Amino acid sequence: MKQTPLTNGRLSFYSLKRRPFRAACLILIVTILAFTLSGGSVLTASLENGMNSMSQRLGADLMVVPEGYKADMEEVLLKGDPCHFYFSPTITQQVAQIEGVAQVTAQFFLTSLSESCCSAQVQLIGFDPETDFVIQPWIARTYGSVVENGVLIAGSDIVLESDHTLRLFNCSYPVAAQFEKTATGLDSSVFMNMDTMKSLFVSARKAGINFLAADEPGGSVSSILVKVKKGHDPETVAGLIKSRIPHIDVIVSKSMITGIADNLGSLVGYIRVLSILLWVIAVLVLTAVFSFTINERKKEFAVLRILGATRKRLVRLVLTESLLLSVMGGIAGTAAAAVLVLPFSAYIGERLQLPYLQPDAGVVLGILALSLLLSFVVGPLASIYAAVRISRAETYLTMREGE
Amino acid sequence: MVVRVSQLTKEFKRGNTSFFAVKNAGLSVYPGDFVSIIGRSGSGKTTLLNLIAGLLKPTSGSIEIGGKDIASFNDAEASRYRNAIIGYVPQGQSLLANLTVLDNVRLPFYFFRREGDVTKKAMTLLEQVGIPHLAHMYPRQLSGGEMRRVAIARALINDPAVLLADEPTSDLDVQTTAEMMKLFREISMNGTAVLMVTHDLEAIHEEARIFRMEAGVLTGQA
Repeated sequence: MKQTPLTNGRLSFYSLKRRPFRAACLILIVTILAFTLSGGSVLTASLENGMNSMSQRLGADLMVVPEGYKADMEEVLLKGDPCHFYFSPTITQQVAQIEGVAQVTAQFFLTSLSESCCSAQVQLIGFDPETDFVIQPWIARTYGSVVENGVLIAGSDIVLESDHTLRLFNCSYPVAAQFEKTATGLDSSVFMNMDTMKSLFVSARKAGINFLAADEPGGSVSSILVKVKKGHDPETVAGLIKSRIPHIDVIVSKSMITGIADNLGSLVGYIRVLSILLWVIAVLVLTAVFSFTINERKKEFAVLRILGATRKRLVRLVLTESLLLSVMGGIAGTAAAAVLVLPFSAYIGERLQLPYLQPDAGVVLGILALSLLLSFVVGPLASIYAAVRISRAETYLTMREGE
Repeated sequence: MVVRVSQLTKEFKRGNTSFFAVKNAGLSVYPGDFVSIIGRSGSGKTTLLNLIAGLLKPTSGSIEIGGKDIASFNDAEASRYRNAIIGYVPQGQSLLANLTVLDNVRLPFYFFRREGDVTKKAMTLLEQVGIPHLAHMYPRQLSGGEMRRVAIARALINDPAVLLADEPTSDLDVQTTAEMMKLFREISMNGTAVLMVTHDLEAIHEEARIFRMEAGVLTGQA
């Protein structure tokens, strides 16, 4: 007759099996903890990653826009909500001459339509290859070449036609490359040089859409991106621009990012505090439960001592039992977090209205492994007191209790 | 000689007063011996048994097993001694409720590294104590007498030199008590010394060497 050996693990498992309700409750506590730790950690890492990506991608210290369009510009950058606004291109030169300004480049915005003429309604951004210092560095990294006339570069969220083109104002344009995800509104924007933008503008005119009274993009610009000279404070330079040029607004990238970072910091802070609090509560609850349970089981451990179990073995038995609970709860919670948080990252990012960029698989796996480890530790940590207490109990006295 | 107890004393404190649970006890147990110690409750019988089992440290005196004084053992040595040399049948219900009868019997085998077919051996012991058909039952499904038989089989799993039994018939009827005594006698006749303490005069086998314990003092054959 073949029987399995009665190892510490098996004895602990039998012990848990005998009290299924208690075991289920304890596993549930660790499951909730593991879910919060894993889910919360992936969430905070994604928010921080999104924030880093955003600050890297903005590329300019200041953004000059027509007066009253500051919020629209921020919407374009953060959410990719399509909009267009224009002012005179002469402002570009005025801005360039202001003290502390190192580089300027103008961009021209257009929006496609959610009608049959276009693949989708997206933000179209034209840049000047001669002066651009923001878009071209990404293009060089993603595409590895200069964007030719008539060719587009799309953000990561843009859905292309099957032939890798985009239909805009009844014309089809090839898409040379798509940028990697940035967790900003730029993911749902399409980029092109100013010549392509001009031909697009003409197509729009032909389709009966008049964005401007002027003839073409060269006659207007939507925003002027500014790089500030080293040693100059962007806020001061922004103040100078605003005071010298009428009817404009200036967005200071650092301030915008700081504002978002403040919101994000609060959210990340709440998630971290909640995780730490849950971890401490789980340890305390489990400590109390193990302590009560061990009291009930004093005679059982006394019998084990009589049969020849060392004090160390009793400690190992209690720790193994609690580790089993933690492992089951930890795996369940982490798996639930992986199933519920990872596939819905896009939805979560949209709901949070904050830059949300899930880190790559390696980082996510690392986070999940760490959360798993922290969940595994909870049980043994909570049962140390009970384990030491039971190992120190005098078998002789325990056996006599209740006689 | 299996066990030699010499000048064994155990002193306890209760509040500010101290008392002797065992006082200058002397006893020798030989292979195949059948020793019964009788005495009233509180006379020190269980304390003596616990001292011999290495569960308590004596205040003075010695307990020699194979020429070694077990008072000098550390926890690991004392546990190994209890597991290998001693078979202990505690008073009352002492089976682990979450294990089957067979696993209860097999359990002490796994506390230290051993070779052999423990399951086969456990089944043989269950046959010896007359309950092989209960191997896959749980303790809650057994009667008091059956549980005691399982505890005896468990105590014998590692072929101990001496079997200690603490009031093994305390809550059993007359017929079951007689069956138990017969079983203990068979065990002793197979070479394992049996040292039993009881306050139940019904539980005294006619062939046993009988000692009396009173107020911690062990006196010769009664």
